[in-house]
Amino acid sequence: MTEIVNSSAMTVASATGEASVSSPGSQIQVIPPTQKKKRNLPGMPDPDSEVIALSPKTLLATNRFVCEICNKGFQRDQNLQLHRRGHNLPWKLKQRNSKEVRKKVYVCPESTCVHHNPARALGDLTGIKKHFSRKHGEKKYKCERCSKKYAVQSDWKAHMKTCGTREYKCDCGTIFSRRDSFITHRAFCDALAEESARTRTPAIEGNPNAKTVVSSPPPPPLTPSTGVVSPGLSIQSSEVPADNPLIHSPPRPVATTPSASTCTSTVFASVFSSSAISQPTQATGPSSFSNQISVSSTGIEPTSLSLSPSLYLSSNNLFSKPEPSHIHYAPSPQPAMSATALLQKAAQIGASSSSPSLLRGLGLTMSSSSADNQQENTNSASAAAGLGLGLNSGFTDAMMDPSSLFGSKPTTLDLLGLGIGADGASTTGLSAFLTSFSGSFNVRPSAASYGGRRGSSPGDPWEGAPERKPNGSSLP
Amino acid sequence: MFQDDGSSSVTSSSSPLQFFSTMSPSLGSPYQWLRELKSEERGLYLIHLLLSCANHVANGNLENANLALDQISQLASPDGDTMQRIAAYFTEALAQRILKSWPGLHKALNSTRISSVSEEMLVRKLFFDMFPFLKVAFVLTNQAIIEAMEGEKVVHVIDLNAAEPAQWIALIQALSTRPEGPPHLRITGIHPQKEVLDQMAHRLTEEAEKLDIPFQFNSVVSKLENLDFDKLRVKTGEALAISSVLQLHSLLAADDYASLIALKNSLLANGYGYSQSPDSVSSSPLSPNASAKMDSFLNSLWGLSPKVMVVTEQDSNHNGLTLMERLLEALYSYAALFDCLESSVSRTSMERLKVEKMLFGEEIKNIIACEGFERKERHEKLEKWIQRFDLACFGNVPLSYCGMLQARRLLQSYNCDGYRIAEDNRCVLICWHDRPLFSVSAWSCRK
Repeated sequence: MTEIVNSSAMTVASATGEASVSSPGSQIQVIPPTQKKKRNLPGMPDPDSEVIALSPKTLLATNRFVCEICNKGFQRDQNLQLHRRGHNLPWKLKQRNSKEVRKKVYVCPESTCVHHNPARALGDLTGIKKHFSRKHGEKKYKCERCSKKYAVQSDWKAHMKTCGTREYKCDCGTIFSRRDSFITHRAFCDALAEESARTRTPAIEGNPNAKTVVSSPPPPPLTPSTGVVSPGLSIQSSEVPADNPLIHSPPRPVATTPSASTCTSTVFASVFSSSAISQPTQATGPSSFSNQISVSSTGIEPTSLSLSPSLYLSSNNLFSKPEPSHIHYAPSPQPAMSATALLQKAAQIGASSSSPSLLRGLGLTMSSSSADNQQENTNSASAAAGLGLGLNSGFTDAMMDPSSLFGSKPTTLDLLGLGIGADGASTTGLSAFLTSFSGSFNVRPSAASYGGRRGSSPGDPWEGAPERKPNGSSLP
Repeated sequence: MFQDDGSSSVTSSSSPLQFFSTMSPSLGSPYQWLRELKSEERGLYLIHLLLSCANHVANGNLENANLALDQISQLASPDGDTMQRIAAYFTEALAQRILKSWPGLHKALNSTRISSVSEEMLVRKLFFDMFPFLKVAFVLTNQAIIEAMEGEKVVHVIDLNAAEPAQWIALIQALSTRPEGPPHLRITGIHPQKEVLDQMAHRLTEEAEKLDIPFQFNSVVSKLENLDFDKLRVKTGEALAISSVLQLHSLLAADDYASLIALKNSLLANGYGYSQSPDSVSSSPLSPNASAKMDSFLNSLWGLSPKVMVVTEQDSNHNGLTLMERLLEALYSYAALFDCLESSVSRTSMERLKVEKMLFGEEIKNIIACEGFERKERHEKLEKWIQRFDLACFGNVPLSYCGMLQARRLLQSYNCDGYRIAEDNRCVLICWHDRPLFSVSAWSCRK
């Protein structure tokens, strides 16, 4: 009893390489975890403790404690004591012999083991038993989900609790049960997958089998160094399911910027531009989306993938292009000029048709007809005359020199060169177009003589774009 | 050309005018030849007719205007090619304008119009689907909001026109994937129609529940100009974002009768050469009324101290003082918009017709036919908006590279390759070929 009590004071967590803590097992007293007991470092025992070497058989024995009365075996001493009470022993025999308290440490019988050396003895009997089973024993327990094998039943049970319950899934397909290892992996995986995606033309395929096979090795309790290893694995796995790079290659250049908001915006953009992405990517597009969902709301299993396509598709409907009936419109057989082009042409015509010879014959009639309207003409004078030209007497003179008055710029404009000037110039052209026509339409038969001058009109305005591109004063 | 005396004229050598010269109007139907015009010539002729008609209307020359309208009606058609459609809607607008000279007639003809909320919603949805403009605007707006709200636990968003749930659904989804977790999100939607807000509330709460985000939607049923800022329930110190998509320009509509009179007087005094630009004079001393409402609205917005305010507006000058100015500008802008449709939607599509008629047609009508307080579609160029926001003590927040990237990607996903994005003054212009159509800019309070 006492030995066990004291051995619990030297509870050793486990041998190196095993992160999971084995329960100290047989203790009389329950030591609350917050209580600080003096613990030796694992594997470095107290020098005055008694070294006990038990045989493998003893270590592996399950029922170490045997009742002397009925020879029933128990795994734990407490259980044996409870059982003994039932025998109604006389008082004297109830007590166990109390020996002098002496620490006991145990060595591993396996000669190759580090703990075989008494200097590295383990202080806890249960500890040494478990150590022996784990390291040198046969792994009899197997997890069904991930086929991991365990020698110690408690290890196996502990694993079963967490296997598959909390999963973080990286885009490359690797699954993690621990958040920290997942995040570490993802940091590497991002960078590596991006590079590999950029150099490769995106092929569209999905191969989930390859994913799981490659990515299952990194177990949760691994140190972060293995997190570096897994990207290497994930690269291999990501070569196969190349649909992921397709999703990632567009948002990747954006995702590299440190701002957190850009990550969401990549999802955002994919939502909006979903209409362009071809069919297969629609199914896998939400992977980054669901990925982020699974990060933020823990516990969402891969079923989130099924959730987000519906989201994605519904938002697809929001932003998808119009129905195919609209898209499949073929242009009409006759190459119709666009309205913008027509207007520009008209403006050019207007600008250049104000050639002196054209209007000289009309000059008189122009001014006469305009003189009628002069009273009410303030508005049209200001506007229709291109805001600077009057339909008044100065008109013909003004029209004689269109280059100085019409500010129409060339029709090919750079995007940033747009502005009021350009449009206004075109409007001057248009309004000149109007006035040139209106003048012509008011002409009396005397202008029939003009027909003879057709050939001589310079810069024949009706034959395509005139070469004259008058730069002029801007609008007043 | 088609004078009553039957004379014809010749002005130049080339084909269209040759037609004009060879036909005599006295033979049978005077417009027979019009139908034989080829598409391009017809388009050019339509432009001319439109302009001359507008000229007549501006001069009050109703007889000539009527003639021009008659001619146009032979050529224009809402199911024809682009120019024909444009001409159809422009002439309708011009006709409405003429009709306004007889208020009784105008009211009588327009009184039996049925406005259906569901149709309006459908048309809005079609505009959202068929063009990338709103989507790009939403992407940029949401990205700006996300960036401004980094690290905030409580986010309040005010939508000045809560009509399209898609924008906020996308924001909710994006916020839910924030690395620091989603914030507590409150969205206040303003709209004159309660049904629209109800539907929006329903969609958004559903979405937020799906993603398990604490969410609250407040409906404010109100017109923007009558907005009571207390109803918005902005708590002091909360992180506020404001999104305005194609809304602010209507606040420029004011009863600028007085200013118009003043302008006319000045015009007559100086002749035609007034030195101002043809743009809206809302920032000029001549018409302080026009900007008063806008100024006070912007001041109230500033008073809410938003972290970011993203404004999407049409980028065209449809707020000129005179009809001709506006008509010329509108011709260009709507030509671009109609071209967008022509290149991506078939001519027989009913949806296209609806968008053209109920959305663009109505806007054109408003720009051309209405004046003063009725004219709500007072689109202005980005420079003017920048000036205005600057004066109201807002500082420009450049739109992030990330947002631009998403917007460009979105445009690329459209089959139509005429759409472009340009950056101008740290704001974004969405263009069709070379013509900027919409601008998106982000602002924050400058102390």
